[in-house]
Formats: sequence, C-alpha cells, structure tokens
Amino acid sequence: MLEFLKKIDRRVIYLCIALSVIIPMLVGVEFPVPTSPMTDQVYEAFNNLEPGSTVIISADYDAGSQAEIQPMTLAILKYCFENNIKVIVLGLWPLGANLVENALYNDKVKISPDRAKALIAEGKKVFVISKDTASCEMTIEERDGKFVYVDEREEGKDGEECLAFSPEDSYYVKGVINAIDREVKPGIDYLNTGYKAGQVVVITQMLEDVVGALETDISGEPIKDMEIVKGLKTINDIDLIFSLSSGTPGAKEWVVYANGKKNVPVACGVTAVSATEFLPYLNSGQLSGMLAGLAGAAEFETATGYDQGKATEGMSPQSFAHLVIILFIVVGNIIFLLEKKKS
Amino acid sequence: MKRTIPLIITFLSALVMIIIYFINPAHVQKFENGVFEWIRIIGAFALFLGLFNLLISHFIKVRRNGMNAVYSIALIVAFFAIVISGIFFDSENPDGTFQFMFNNIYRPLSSTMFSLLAFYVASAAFRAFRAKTKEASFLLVAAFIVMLGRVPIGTMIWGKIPVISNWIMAYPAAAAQSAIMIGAALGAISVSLKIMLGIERTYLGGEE
Repeated sequence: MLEFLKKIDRRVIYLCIALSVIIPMLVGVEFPVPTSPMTDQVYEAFNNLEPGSTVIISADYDAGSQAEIQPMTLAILKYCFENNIKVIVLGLWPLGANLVENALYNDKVKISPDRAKALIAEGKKVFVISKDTASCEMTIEERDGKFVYVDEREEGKDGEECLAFSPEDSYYVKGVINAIDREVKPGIDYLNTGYKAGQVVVITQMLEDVVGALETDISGEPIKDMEIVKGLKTINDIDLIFSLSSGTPGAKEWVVYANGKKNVPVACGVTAVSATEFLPYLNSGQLSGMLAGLAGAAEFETATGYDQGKATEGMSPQSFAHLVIILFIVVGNIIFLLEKKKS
Repeated sequence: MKRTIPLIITFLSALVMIIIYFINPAHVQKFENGVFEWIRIIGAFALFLGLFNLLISHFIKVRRNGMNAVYSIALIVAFFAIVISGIFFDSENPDGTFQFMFNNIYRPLSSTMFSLLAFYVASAAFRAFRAKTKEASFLLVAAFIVMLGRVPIGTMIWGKIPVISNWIMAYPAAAAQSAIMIGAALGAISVSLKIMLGIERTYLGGEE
C-alpha cells in the first residue's frame, strides 16, 4: 500500500483535482458564504458613497486572471449602477478595459426569476438556461400575459412554446447594464476610457488632471465634454479608486501615488496568490479594503445581497479542490512519516 | 564624453523627479507634466518596438525550420489575425470578428493556462510539502488553516477556522510581508542611488 501511494502517478492527482471541481459544479452544491473583515471594509467603502459619487475602476488585469477578477468586476459594476454611483474605467494593462467592456455588455449575469420578470417588463432581453435542454440558451418573451420561450433545440419539440420560470431553470442577461432596472447611459453614468499606455505615469498625471490624462474614451472620442467628467479636475474629485489588480502596475501603484500623495481612498481586488503582498497596506489603512481572490468576490456578492453571482457559484468547486489538496498533503506526510519510522 | 553626458542627464533627471515627488513646487508642474508626456510617448513606441522584435525573432525561427517552428507559425498567424481584425474590422462590435476571437479563443486559452497551476500545485504539494522540521510543521498547519479559512467549507467544519485564518493573514503573514517589502525597497533605493551616481552603468550598454 505504502509503495502504491509513494509511486502514485501525477495524472491520478490531476484527475482527482479535475473531479473535485467538475462534480460539485454538475451536482450544484451550494454553500453559504460568510464575509471576512477585508471584504466588509470594501463593502463599507462603497456603502459610504453618496448617490452621484464618482468611482474610478482601474482594470489592471488580463484574461489569465479573469477567473478570479472578472466576478469582482461584475459584482462591483452591478453595485455601483444599482446605487447610482458613477463609474470611470481605465486600464493600465492592455486588455483590462476590454474585459470591463465585456462585463458591461457581453458577459452573462445571472439574475433571480423576480428580477428576470421585471426586466422583461422593461423590454430587456432575458435568456433562460433550461435544465431539460441542458445548456441551450433561449430568449424569454411575454406572450398573452404568459412568459414563454420557444424551445427550438430539444428533440421532437421544435418550435414548441415552453412556460418560463420553472424552479429548475436559471436566468441571465448579457452585460451588467442589462441587469439594472434603470437605463445606464455611457458618458453620464459610466465611462470606459480604455487602455492608457504609460503605466505609473498615467496615475501621476491623473493626480493633477484626470481628464487630461485620460483624454479619450475606449472608442477614441474626446471625453472633455462628457457629463460624467463635468467638475472633475484633480484626483481629489474622485470619491474612491478601486484597482482590479493582478500585478504591476496595479493596486500598489495606486496606493503609493493616489493615496500616498493625495490621500484619495483606494481599495482593491486581487488574485488570491498576491493577497499577502497587500496586507501591510491594509493594516496601515492605506488600503480601504481588499477582495482576495474568488473567495473575496463571493464575499462581496454576499455583502451586496447578490446571491446569484459567478463567484458564489465557484465556491463549492473551490472548497472541494482545497479539501483534495489538503488530503494529498496529509497522505504525502503519512508516507513520509512511515518511511522515516521504517528507516 | 560619450558616457559623461548621459550620466549627467540621468543624475539631473533623477534628482529633479525626487524633488518634485516630495516638494512639488507650482512652477515645476509644467516641467513634470512634460516629462510624463515623454514617458508615455516613449512607452507607446516601446510597444511597437516589442511587437516588431517579437515578429522578427519568430520569423527567424521559422526560416531556420527548427523543431519548434510550428509554434512560431502559430504565433505569427495569431498575431496577424488579431491585428488585421482589430484594425480593419469593427473591433468594438460585440459580435465582430475581433471580439469573437478575444472572447472565444484568447479568454478561454488564458484562463486554461492559469488554471493549470492548480494541478501542478496539488502534485507538487503531495511530493514536497513535508513536515520535516518543527518550522515546516508550523507552516503546514498554517497552510491548512488558511486554505480552509478562505473557503466556505472551512466554516462548516469549524466556525473558528476563518477567525484563525484571518488572524494568521493579518499578523504573522502581514509582518513577514512587511519585512520582505522593506528589504526590497532598501535594495531598490540602493540600486537607484548607484544608477544616479553613475556607479551602476550597465543600462548604458556596451563594455566600460
């Protein structure tokens, strides 16, 4: 037995990890997600903002870390729009702002059946993923007072109208702006200024002249006459900076320059592996809060009452994966101790 | 002379930037903004230079027809596909070619590469994470607590696990991290001073 465990193939370990992620996702295990003090601080930072406040979201990540960071982007944008907080996005990383643009218009945002009904009534497009038809995506429409979707894919049911809102179906919209029950307008409620080359220099320029440093939006249009930037001069006119950060430049640079020089509140969302780097800033109060990895994103979803979020869904696979890794470490140590005893 | 002038420029630029950071008198604001503009322009050109270099090095690999030429061909094809679709097709259209490639090729591939870490970490932890000494045992226990404390199942096992995990993160981990950061910052200051004073000259290129 000892020899078998000692020579266990690495592919067996890989398979166990894969199964620990896949099975909870298929079974749909759900865990309640309690919040941590770090996440509570982020929630407080957002919750203390008055309606009409302006937040800068710095998208300092790319697709490699989107599994952890993108759920934060979705949850934060949703919270800001729901609470009438203006959002200015910039990317210190080339692909960051594009990922936020996808969160705004393209990424799936899961919603509750009640919210789905309200959005359909407002004329917004809502999709359904039916349990019967696996991953088929169908648009819900209101016909003769009934919510229906046309099932075009299930065998033998071509074109048949199905009643929506069975308890097993799940609902989503494309893009955060479609999940909000009011119209969110570009240039007024939010502004995506795209990638800004220059790394830390962009931040230092923004300290004295936000509009001059950002100059254009993601499509190249000048931003100086847009409503969202009216009255915006220096970085001190910004109420909160939130850096979605997976490296350099990122949260650290915002802390050093925007908080260190101008005392503007800075909070961040980072990958779990880099969370330790920011603990000293959090303890010193230079960071107003931190979301650490997917768990941080799930906690923020809990804090904001969004229990349908992507991160919350990801907590059960992550829980089981952690358990499997711990199990392997324990087994590895038992083998080590038995061998030591033998020798 | 060939080296003296760049050294003087480096010294003066660094000195001015340090003074501006701490004092920032109003009349040097314009100068500071000018310098920042230069840096951003140079940064933008550096991007082009980097792309050009990348292409050239992979074209050379393809011409040499080495064992890994196929990867270089994949890179060149992907490069032109993205650039052409980004420039000549509507890159902002969510249903356009550029966004399609970004969302359906680049994003899943990048996530896959990142997620592979979980498999390697599990395998490496099984083989190498051993309680060989008292210190290693402490590390092992701390790792278990933090791993469980960061996921909801930890709370279900024992309600105090997240509390202990948060304490480990807030005190011992933060203290160690502060020490590392202070050490790295002192190192960075010393290298910067060496560059400023002309002791470290490798950035000028060539042999002294």
